[in-house]
Amino acid sequence: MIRGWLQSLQVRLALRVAALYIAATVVVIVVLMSRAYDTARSLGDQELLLRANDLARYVTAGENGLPRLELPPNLGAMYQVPSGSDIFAIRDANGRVIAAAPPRFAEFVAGWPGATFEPARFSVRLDTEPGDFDGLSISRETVTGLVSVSVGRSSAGAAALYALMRKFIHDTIWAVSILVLAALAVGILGIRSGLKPVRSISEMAAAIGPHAMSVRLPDKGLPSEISPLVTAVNRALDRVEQGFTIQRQFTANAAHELRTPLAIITAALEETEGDDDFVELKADVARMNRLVEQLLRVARLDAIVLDVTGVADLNEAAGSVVATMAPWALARDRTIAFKGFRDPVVVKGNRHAIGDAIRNLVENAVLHSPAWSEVLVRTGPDGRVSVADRGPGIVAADQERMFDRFWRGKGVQFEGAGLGLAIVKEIMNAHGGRVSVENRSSDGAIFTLHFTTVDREDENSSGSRHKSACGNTAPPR
Amino acid sequence: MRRLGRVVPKAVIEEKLYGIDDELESNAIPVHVHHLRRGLADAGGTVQIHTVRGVGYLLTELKA
Repeated sequence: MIRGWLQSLQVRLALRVAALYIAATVVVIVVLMSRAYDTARSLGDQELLLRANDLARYVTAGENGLPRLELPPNLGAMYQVPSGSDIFAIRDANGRVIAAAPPRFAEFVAGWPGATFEPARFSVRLDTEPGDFDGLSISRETVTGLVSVSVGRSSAGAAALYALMRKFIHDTIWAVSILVLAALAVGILGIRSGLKPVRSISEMAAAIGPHAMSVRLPDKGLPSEISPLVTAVNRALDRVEQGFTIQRQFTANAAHELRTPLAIITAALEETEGDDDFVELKADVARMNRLVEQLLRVARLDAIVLDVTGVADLNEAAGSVVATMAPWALARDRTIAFKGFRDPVVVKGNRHAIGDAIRNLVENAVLHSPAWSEVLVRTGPDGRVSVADRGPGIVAADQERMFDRFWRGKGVQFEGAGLGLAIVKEIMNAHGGRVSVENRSSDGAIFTLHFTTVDREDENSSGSRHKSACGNTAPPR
Repeated sequence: MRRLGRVVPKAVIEEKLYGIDDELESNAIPVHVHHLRRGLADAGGTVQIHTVRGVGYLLTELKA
C-alpha cells in the first residue's frame, strides 16, 4: 500500500516540496532568532554603555579629594529609586566603591578586579533583589582619573523580550505551515490537472485490442514529459499492427491458396469409385475442406470489421441453414429439424454472419450427436436461436475455454480445428450479443445465440434495407 | 428429380401445388408425400423422400 503510494508522482513531489518548505522554514527561523537575539543583546549593551558613560561623566572630585558621584536630580531619581530593575556601581582605581545601588551590589563589586576599556560581562544574583542581573563593567576616564563602572539590568526585562520573540516564532510557524499546506494543495492540483490527459489516454490504450488495432493515442495537450512516451507507444502500435496485418494476411492467403488444390482433389475423388480406404480418404478430404473453410472464415472475421448495421430474420437465417445442411447431416445418418417462432424474429445484425454462426453450431451438434438422432434448431421471440443435440453434453470446466481458438475437447473422436465455437463467439461479440451453453435435462447440450431484436416500428421502416443488406453483406471469397 | 440432394422448402411446394392465393389444408402436403413414398417403395424406386422438420422435404438416392 505504502509502496504503491510512493510510486505516485503526486505523492512523491508533494513529499519533496513539503520537506523543502519545512527545512527552509527551520533555517529561516533559526537565522531570524539568532539575529534577533544578537540585535537585542547589542542594543542592550549599547544602552548599558551609554549609562556607564553617563555615570562616569558625573563623577567629580569631593571635598576630601576623593572622587564622588553627583548626579543631576532627574538622573539621580532614576538611579537611586530602588526600581529593582537597574543596578550600578562605580569604583576608583584603588577598587574603593564610590557609589552603588542597591547597596548590596557594592559588596559584590568590591571583590571584583578593576575593569578594562573592553567591556566585560557579568551576571549576578543579589539576595536583596528578586531575579538575576546581567551587565557589563568598563573602565572610564573621569576628572578624577580612571574609574570602573559596572552597570546591570534585571534579566526579567530580557525575559520579556525573549517571550515576545518566542511568540513571534510561534506565529511564524503557524503562518508557514498554512503556507506549506497551500503550496502542497497548489502542487497536487497542478499535477492532477497536468496528468488528466494521461488518465484519458490510459483509458484509450486499454481499449486497444485485435479488433481495434488502428486506434492511436492523441499526443495533443499532453505534458511535454509524457508526450515522448505516447509517441513511442504509437510507433510501437504501428509496428505491432503491421505485424498483425501481415499475420492475418498470411492466414487468409494460406487458407485461400489451399482451397484450389483441395477443390481439385475433392472433385477428382467424387468421380472415382473405390474401396473402404477410398471412402476414408474422401472423409479425410472432407475434413480438410472444412478446416480450410473455417480458417478462411476466421481470417475474414479478423481482416474486415463486420457490418452489423443491417437487420435479419432469424427464422429465415436458421431455416436456410437447416435446409442447406440437412443433406450433409443425412449423409451422416443424423437429421436436423427446425422449429421457428410463428412470427419473424427480426434482429439487428449481419445476415451472412448470423448464418455462419448458426451453421457452426449445427455442424458441431451434428458431429457430436449419436447416429439416428435429431439436432433441433429453434428460434425464440426475444432474438434467440438455440441448437440442441443429443451428444454427451458439456463438461462444466470446459465452458469458458471451449470458445477459444484451436481449443478441442478431450476424447473427441473426430478431427476438427477447434475454430467453430471461436468463430461463433467472435460473430456474437461483433453483434454485441452473446452465446450461452447449457446441458439438456436429458442427454445433450443446447447452445443459444442471443441477439438484439428490432422493434416492430423499426422493422417496418427498415424493411427495404433488410433485403438489400442480405444481398450485399456476403463478402467475396 | 431436379432437386435431388437439396431440401425443397414447404412454401415452394405449396406455391407450386396450389398457387399463392388458394386456401390450403394444413396436412395436405404430408398426406401427399406419404402417398408418394408408398408409391416409390411399391415401384421399387431408387430415391427416398426425407422430411426435414420445420423446413421441407429432401429427395435422396437410396444407399446401396
